[in-house]
Amino acid sequence: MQKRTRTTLAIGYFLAATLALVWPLYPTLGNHIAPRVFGLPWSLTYVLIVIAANFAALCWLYLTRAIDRDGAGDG
Amino acid sequence: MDSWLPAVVVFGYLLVALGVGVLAGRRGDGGTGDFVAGERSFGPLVMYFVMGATVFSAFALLGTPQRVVSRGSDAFYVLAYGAVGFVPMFFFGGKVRRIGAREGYVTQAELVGSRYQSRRVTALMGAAAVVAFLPYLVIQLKGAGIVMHAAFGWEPLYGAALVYAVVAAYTVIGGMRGVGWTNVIQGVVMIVVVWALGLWIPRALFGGVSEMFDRVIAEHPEHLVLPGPSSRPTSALAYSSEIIVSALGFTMWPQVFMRCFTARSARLVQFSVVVYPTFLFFIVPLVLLGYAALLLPGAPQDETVLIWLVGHPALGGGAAVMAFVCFAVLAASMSTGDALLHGGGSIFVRDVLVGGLGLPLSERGQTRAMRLSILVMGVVSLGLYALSDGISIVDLLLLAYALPIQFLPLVLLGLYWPRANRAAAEAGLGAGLVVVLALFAVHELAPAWYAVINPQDLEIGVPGVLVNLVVMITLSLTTAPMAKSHLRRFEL
Repeated sequence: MQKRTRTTLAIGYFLAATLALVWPLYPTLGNHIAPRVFGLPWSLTYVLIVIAANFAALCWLYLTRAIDRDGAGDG
Repeated sequence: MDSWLPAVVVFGYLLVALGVGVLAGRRGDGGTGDFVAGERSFGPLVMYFVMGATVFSAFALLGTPQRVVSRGSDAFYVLAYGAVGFVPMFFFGGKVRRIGAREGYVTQAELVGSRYQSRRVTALMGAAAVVAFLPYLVIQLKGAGIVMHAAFGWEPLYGAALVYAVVAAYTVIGGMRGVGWTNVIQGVVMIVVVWALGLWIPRALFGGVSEMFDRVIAEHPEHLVLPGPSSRPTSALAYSSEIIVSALGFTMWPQVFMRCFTARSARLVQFSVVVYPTFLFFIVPLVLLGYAALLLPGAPQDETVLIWLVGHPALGGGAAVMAFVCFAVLAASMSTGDALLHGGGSIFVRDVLVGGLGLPLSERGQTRAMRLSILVMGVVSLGLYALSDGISIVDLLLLAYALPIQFLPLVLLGLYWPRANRAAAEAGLGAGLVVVLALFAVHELAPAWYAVINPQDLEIGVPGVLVNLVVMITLSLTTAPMAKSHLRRFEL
């Protein structure tokens, strides 16, 4: 995959993750008490899921050196 | 509290922080690069705690449970903006680290001003950063004052003065290395104490986290979803605006941005962003503590609610628990306060005096001036704290949050768009700052007009940054680009 494509896809993912946390997606998808996960309300669980997904995405981008591949290793 | 334990914990901690900060500072060469950026030598451990502990302040520790009690699930916005706020640094942080090391930059305004070959940009950014730091520092002093009052019954101002005398001492003597290594201790304390309390208190009071939320659903379901309690509702738009503004401004705070210059390598900057969510999760136990307080009768609605909760007779934790909470709040206050003092002193000298006004100071002279500036900033913020009954810190924070976000177009366009040039940067930044200051003045002097101009009460940084961006793009497209040889220095 080309460097520019990788970067565009990564930026697109994080923009989508941001949109998932704000109006109108959060009130629709996240702003509910049920279902509860490990006793936590869905409104909180939903935000934690987005954080976990972003963490996984960042780990993948870091391990595959997908972003700033040409220079991130040098100092 | 009539026990010796809080005194041992609090004063023991202050002594350890002072010792670590001073000793850490003895390792460097004492030059400006060492004082401001620790000679770009920080490894993964220090970078992890420097990033996390700098971001999470006394405001997060005391303010998150308070926000749950007073505004319900609106408090989740800290988690929400934290989820995405650091991500831009994953993209630009490595590049900033490389350019900084190659060109010798140690501050954000230095890099940006050089990119645009503009002393005005350096000076304006430096001055705006120092102004933004002051109210944020007062919040940290307030956190320290609350703790010293709770632990020893001292007047909060005197307690805060003692704590910040220690912070100023290790920051002045230890520089960035002192800040970094004390942040390691402070970060560990914050994480351990907050998680321990967040899991223990719901179990001790209600039988567990799940059982606690059963009761919240039965007694206060409105606190679990937006718009929250009718006494302080939050619209979905206002909640979204808080998240977007905070996320956009997050990496533009100079004390956060400057951490790119302290890392041992460009890849380590990216690594710090990757592991940051593990620190962010420490907001979760604070949210749990807020809901625990909500279920107890008589919970205060202000920032003393955490201290009130851990001292509640139903817990029976006594002086030991209170001592460790004080320990954690002090750690949070100091880990952000030291970064603000250190960043403010460094920026004032490097960006305003040397970079902006062209004052001919030697390396040693700059370091001495930075040390003096740190002390002056400490005294000024203490003075503001003393006067805080007469002035609104919340109002000043309105300005503080709006200023760093004005750096965003200059940083991103400067790093990724070759067309961005000096005229555009100077005009864009100037226009953004004028809009913010004008809106702030209207907010203070004519609140009725302000309500008409900004009916949704959106953050004043938003119109500022939009004007800034439009001006920058328009002028960049209509004026001559900068020389290619110059742009190559910035990997363009």
